[in-house]
Amino acid sequence: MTKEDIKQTEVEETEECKFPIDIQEVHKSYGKKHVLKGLNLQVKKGEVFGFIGKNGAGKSTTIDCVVGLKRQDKGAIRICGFDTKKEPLLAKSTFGYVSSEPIAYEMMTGNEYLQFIASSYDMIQSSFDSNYEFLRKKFELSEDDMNRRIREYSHGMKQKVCLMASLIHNPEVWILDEPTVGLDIMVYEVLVKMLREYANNGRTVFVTSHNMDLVAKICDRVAIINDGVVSDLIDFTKEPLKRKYLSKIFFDTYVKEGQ
Amino acid sequence: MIIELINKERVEKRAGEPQSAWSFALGIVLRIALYVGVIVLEVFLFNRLHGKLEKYASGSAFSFLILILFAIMLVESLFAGWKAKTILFDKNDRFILGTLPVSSSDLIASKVSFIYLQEFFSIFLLSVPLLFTYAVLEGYSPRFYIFSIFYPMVISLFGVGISLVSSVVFEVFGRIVKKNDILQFAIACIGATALCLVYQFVLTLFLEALAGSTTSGILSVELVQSISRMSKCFGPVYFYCTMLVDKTNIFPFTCLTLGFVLLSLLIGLVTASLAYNRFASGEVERATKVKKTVKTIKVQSGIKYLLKKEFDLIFKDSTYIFSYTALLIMAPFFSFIVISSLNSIVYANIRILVTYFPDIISGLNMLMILLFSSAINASASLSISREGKSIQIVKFIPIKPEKQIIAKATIPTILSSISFIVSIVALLITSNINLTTSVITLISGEAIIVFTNFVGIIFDMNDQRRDSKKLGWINTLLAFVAPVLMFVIHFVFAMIGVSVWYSYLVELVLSIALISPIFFNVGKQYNRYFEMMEIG
Repeated sequence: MTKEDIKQTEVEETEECKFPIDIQEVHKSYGKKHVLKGLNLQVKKGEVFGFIGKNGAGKSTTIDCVVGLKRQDKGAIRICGFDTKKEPLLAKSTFGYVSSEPIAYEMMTGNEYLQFIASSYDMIQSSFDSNYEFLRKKFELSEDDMNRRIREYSHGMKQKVCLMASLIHNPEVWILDEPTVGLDIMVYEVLVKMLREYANNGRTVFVTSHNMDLVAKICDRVAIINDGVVSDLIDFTKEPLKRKYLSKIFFDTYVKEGQ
Repeated sequence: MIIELINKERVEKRAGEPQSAWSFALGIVLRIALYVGVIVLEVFLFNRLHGKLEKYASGSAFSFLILILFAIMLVESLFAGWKAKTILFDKNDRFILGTLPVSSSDLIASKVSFIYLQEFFSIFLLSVPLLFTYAVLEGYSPRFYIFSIFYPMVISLFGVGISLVSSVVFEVFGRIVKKNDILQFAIACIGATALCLVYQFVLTLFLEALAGSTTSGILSVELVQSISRMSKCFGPVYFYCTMLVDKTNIFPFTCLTLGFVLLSLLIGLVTASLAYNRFASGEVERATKVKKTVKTIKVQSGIKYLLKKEFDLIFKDSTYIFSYTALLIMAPFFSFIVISSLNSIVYANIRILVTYFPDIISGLNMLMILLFSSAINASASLSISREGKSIQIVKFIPIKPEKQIIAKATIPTILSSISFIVSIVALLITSNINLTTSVITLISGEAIIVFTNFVGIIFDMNDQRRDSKKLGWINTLLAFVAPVLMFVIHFVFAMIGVSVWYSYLVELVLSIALISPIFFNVGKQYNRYFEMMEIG
C-alpha cells in the first residue's frame, strides 16, 4: 500500500466514521491491580467530549491506551475507524495529543521540534507553513522564542509548543490530557476558544481536566469515570442546566460510591 | 532538625528504582569487593614502590606517601564537590526547602555535614591502609597507628572546604557550559585527554612496580627529587604526616594543620553560603542570547529527520557529550597511548612472557582495544532509555517501529565504527599491532558494536515494560565479557601451544555468532517489543 493509498483510505474512513473515538469493553491491569474494567465510550464527530474522574480512577490509563502509550489487555479502541492494535500507524496519524506534562525534545529549538513532528506526519510543506504561522500567532510565540532551545522555555511556553505540535498536522481528533496546567490566563482563554472552534469545524476534541469550570464551559458531553468504568454520562446539549451543577454531580458520584 | 535534614540527604542519595533484597545484597557485596580491591591494589603498589624509592635517598618514600595521600584527598574533595553541586544547588530541593520554616544556616550545616561524612568515609578507607602500610614498613611505634586513625577526621574537614568551593565553581561553570554545545564538547575532549594521560601514567607506574626491575622509566631520579621538594607544599597533609613521624615539633605542626583546616573550611563555607543564597534568590539566572536564524522550516521525508533527531540526542545532550561523544573522538588517542605504553613495558620488563608465549601479546592488545571500543559504545547503545520522558513522542507519532528503531541504532553504530576503525588504523600505522591482529580485532569489534546497538535495543525496549525483568545490563555486561572471552581463547590457545590461527578462527566464529540474530528477522522483534513498551 503506497502512502497515497493510505491517505486515501484514511480520508474515506474518516468521512464514514461517526464515532472518531470508539472504546469497546477495554480492560487494563497493572499486575494484580485491575484499572480499567470493561470501559465503553463513544465520542461523536464534532463534539468536545470531557472525561473526568478522581485521581486513580483510570483517566490517564484510558488516554494512554487511546494514544498508544499503553496496550489494553482486552477490548478494542478505534480512532476514526482504525483499530489501535491492528492499524496503529493509521490510528496515530489521525490524532494530535497533548500530555498533562509538556513533553518535547528539549535539546531542539521550538522550530526544530515542529519540523520533526511535521515530518513524522509526512506533511505537505504549504500546509505546514500556513498552520505554523496561524498557530504561532495564536499562541503568541515570537520567532525568537521559536529559535530558542525548548529546555530554556518556561513551563507555559513548553505547553504552548506542545499544543502547537499537536495541531500542526491538522488532526481529525485532538486529545488533551490536563491541557491548561501552567498556562497563563491569556493563553488559557485562547485555548478554550480554540477547543470550541475546533469542534465547530467538524473535528473532535477529547479532553480530561480537573478544572470543572473549563469542562462545564466547553464540553458537549462529559463522562465521569469511576473504578475503571464510565459511571455517568452527561449530555449538556440535552440537559444544559447540568452545566451549572457539574461539580455537584461529580462529587455525588463518589459520595454514592462511599468514597 | 539538622539530623532530619542530613537523613533527608541520605534518603535522597539512595532514591531510585526499588531494589529486591537480592540485588541490594549483591550491590553491597560488589561495593565491598570494589573497596577491598582498590585497597589491596594501592597497598601492593605502595609496598613495591617503597623499596625502590628508598634506594634513591632516605625520605623519598615518605614524600611519595604524602603525594599519594594528597592526591587521594584532592580527588575525593573534587569528587565530593561534584556531588555537593547537586546536594547544594538542586532546584527541586531548593524549591521544597525554601518554603519550609528552616533557617539557611541549618540547611547549609546539614548539607555540609553530609558532605563531610561522605568524604570522611572515602578518605578513611583509602588513606588509613596506606598509613598503616608505611608504618609497618618503617617499623613505627603504636603512636603512629593511633594518630593515623584521626588523619581522615582532620583532613576531611580540609577537603570539605575544597569541595564547597569546587561545588560553586562546578555549578557556575555548569550553568555557562550547559548553554554551549561546543564548549561542552571541548571540555569533554580536554577531560578525556587528561584521563588518558593519567591512565597512562598510572598504568606505567603499576607495570614498573610489578616488573620489579631497577628504577627507570617514570620513576626517574628527577621525578623522585621533585616529589620530595613538592611534598612540603601539600599543606595540612604534609604537616599532619610530619607530626606523625617527628615527635619534636608536634605543637607547631598541629597549629599549622588546624590553621589550614580552619582557613579552608571558612573559605568554603562563605563561598557556598553566598552562592546558595544567591542562587536561591535566582539572581544568576539569565536568559541566553537567541541566535537570529531566519530560515525556512523544511518538512523532511524518508528517514533523514529521524536520523537528525538521534544525532541531536547524542550531540546536544550534555550527558552524552561527556559519556560518549567526546570519548568517541578521544578513543583512537586513548587506544594508542595505552597500547603503546603496554607494549613497551611488556617488552621491556616481561621478556620471558614475550619469548615463550608471543601470541599472548596480540591477545592482550586485542583485549584492550575491544574493551575501549565496546565500553564507550555501550554507553550509547541504550537508545530507547536515551529518549527519557520524550519516549512518549516515539510512541505516538505515526512512524513504523522498525524505521524508528533502525534510525536509533544506526547513528551510534556509525559513530562508534568510525572511531574504532580510526583507532585500529592508527595502531597499525604506528606498528603497535600487526595486520592480522588488526583485521581480527576489527571484525570482532564491529560484531560487538552491531550486536549491542541492533540487538541490545531489544533489551532496552523490554526494560520499558512495566513489571518486566530488566535486561539492559546484558548489553553493558556483554561489552566487557565478549572482549575478555576473546582474550581467554587467545591466552588458553597460546598456553597449550595451539597455533594462533586457530584462536583467530574461533574468535571469528564467535563474532559471527554474535551478529547472527540480525539475520533472523529482528524487525519482527522490534515491532513486538515496541508495541509492548508501556510509557508512564
